[in-house]
Amino acid sequence: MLMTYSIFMKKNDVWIIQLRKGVFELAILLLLRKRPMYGYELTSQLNKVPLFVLAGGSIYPILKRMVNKEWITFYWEESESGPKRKYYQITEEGGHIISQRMDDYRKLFNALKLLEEGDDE
Amino acid sequence: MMNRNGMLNRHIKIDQFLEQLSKKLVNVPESEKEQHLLEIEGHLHALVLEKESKGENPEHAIEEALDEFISINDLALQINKDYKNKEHNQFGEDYGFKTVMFLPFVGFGQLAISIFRGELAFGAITVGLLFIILPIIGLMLPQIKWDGKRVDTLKLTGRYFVTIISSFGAIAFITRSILDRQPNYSSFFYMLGYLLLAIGLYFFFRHMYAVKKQEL
Repeated sequence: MLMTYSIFMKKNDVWIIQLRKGVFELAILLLLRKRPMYGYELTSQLNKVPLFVLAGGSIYPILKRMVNKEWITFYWEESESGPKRKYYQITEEGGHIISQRMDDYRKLFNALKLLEEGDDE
Repeated sequence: MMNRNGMLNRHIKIDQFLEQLSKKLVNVPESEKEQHLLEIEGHLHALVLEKESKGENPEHAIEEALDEFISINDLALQINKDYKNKEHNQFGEDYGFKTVMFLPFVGFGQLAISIFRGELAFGAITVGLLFIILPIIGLMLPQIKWDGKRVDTLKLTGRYFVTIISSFGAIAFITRSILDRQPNYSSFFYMLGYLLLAIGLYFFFRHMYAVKKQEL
């Protein structure tokens, strides 16, 4: 599966990269809707999905932008096994963004499906 | 379980990474830099622990964690870019906020008039207290938006506050005493009150800084 994915990625690099950029924030919001998570945890969860593989550390500028937009907030918590952890949690605004964007993506997908299945005329 | 050497290696290599990253975060206010670095340190720490739990030896775990991590240059570029964009969009040069932070200095200048005169100058005291109290109220308003730069300005103000304000008071007292050719005791007591107020305001700035830094 990984080999198929990497071949696919080479052929479609630019398009996939642009597509992913638009959905990373949505992916993070969907994860945080389940429960608060810290950066490493979010990266690990995203890395389980091949399309959302992120280099360690890349998530932090994205999270910062989302905090600035007030889609998520954060709090610090002591960790038993190392430095303090910065946990992120979704805001009400973030919840609205999920509904809005998921709806937009469904409409986009349905529109593309329609074009795919429609008559040639 | 990490051995002593393993712990030492982790601190040196990860600390070096963080030190180099810190130097490259040129657009990030100091008050926010520490938080970024702490967060990244936590991430690296968790990554190393994960690898050790899979049987890697501590040295390799650290090397691999750092190899897998985004490069210092790329990470710094992304973080700096975000702050540069924010600068243009949010507060610009922020002259309004800086003016508000400057007003207490003007206020204490007014209060120093009583020290210089050796008698209470009620007009100057009223104006001085207004110049001190109104900015304090303003800073505590929930409508004020705080970012790293404003928090840094708070820190800088607090740092120089006591030195500059004490100097005003001391100069006013010494000048009065020179003019009178003897120590002016009224002036001295006004100066004590003035310094107490300055110290109170210093602790207020310090407290605000600690609170706002946590909220960043």
